[in-house]
Amino acid sequence: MGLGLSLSHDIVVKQHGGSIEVDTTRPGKNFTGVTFLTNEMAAKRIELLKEVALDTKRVAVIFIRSTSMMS
Amino acid sequence: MRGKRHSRSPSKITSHPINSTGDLDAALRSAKDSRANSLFVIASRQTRLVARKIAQYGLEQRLPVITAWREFVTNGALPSYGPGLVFEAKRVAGRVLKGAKAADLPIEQPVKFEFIINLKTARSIGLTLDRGVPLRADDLIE
Repeated sequence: MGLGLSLSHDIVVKQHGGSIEVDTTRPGKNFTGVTFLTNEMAAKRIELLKEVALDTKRVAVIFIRSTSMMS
Repeated sequence: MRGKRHSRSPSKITSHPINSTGDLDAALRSAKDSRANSLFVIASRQTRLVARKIAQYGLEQRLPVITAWREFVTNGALPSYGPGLVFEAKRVAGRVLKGAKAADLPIEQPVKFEFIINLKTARSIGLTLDRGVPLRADDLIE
C-alpha cells in the first residue's frame, strides 16, 4: 500500500525535481489510503540501527523485487 | 545519545532482493556471505509473511534485524521504526464507519510513528543497549 507512490515520489521529486499532483477530487484511482513512506524513512532506520546495535558495520538489505509493489 | 560511541563511518550496504518468499533462504545465505552484521528488511505485505522466519534467523545468527513494522518485532526482530499499521487502519476505517465514502478519502501520510524494541531479542543476541535507547522507545517487548 503506497509503496509505488513513495517510489514515484523518490524518482520524480527527489531525483528530478518534479512534482506529483494527486487529484483528491477524483479518487478511486488507487490513491486512497495511507502511504507508509517506506523509502523515505530508510535512512532514519539505518541511523536507529546504529544507535541500537553500536557495532553495525555491514548491513544486508532484504526486500521483495516486484513489478507490482503498489499493492 | 552519545554520538561518539556509535560508528561515524558509513555502513557498508549490500542488497539481497528476492522474487518471492520462496527465495528467502537463498537471500539469507547471500546476506551471510556478504558478512553483514545486521539485517534490514524492507517491510511489505510479502516480507511480512516471512517475518517470523527472518526474525528467527536473526536470533540464530545473533544478528540485529530492523524493519518498519511492529509485527516483525513481536516475532523476534530487534527494533522497528515506522507507522503503526493497525493504528492507521483503524483511523481510516473509523472515518468510513462514521459515514465517509472510501473513495472520498485522499491519500494520507501516517500520523503516528512508533519505535519498538524487543529487549528479549537484545539479550539473546548478546547486545547491550545504551541506557538511553529503551527510554526513547514507544514500546518495549520483554
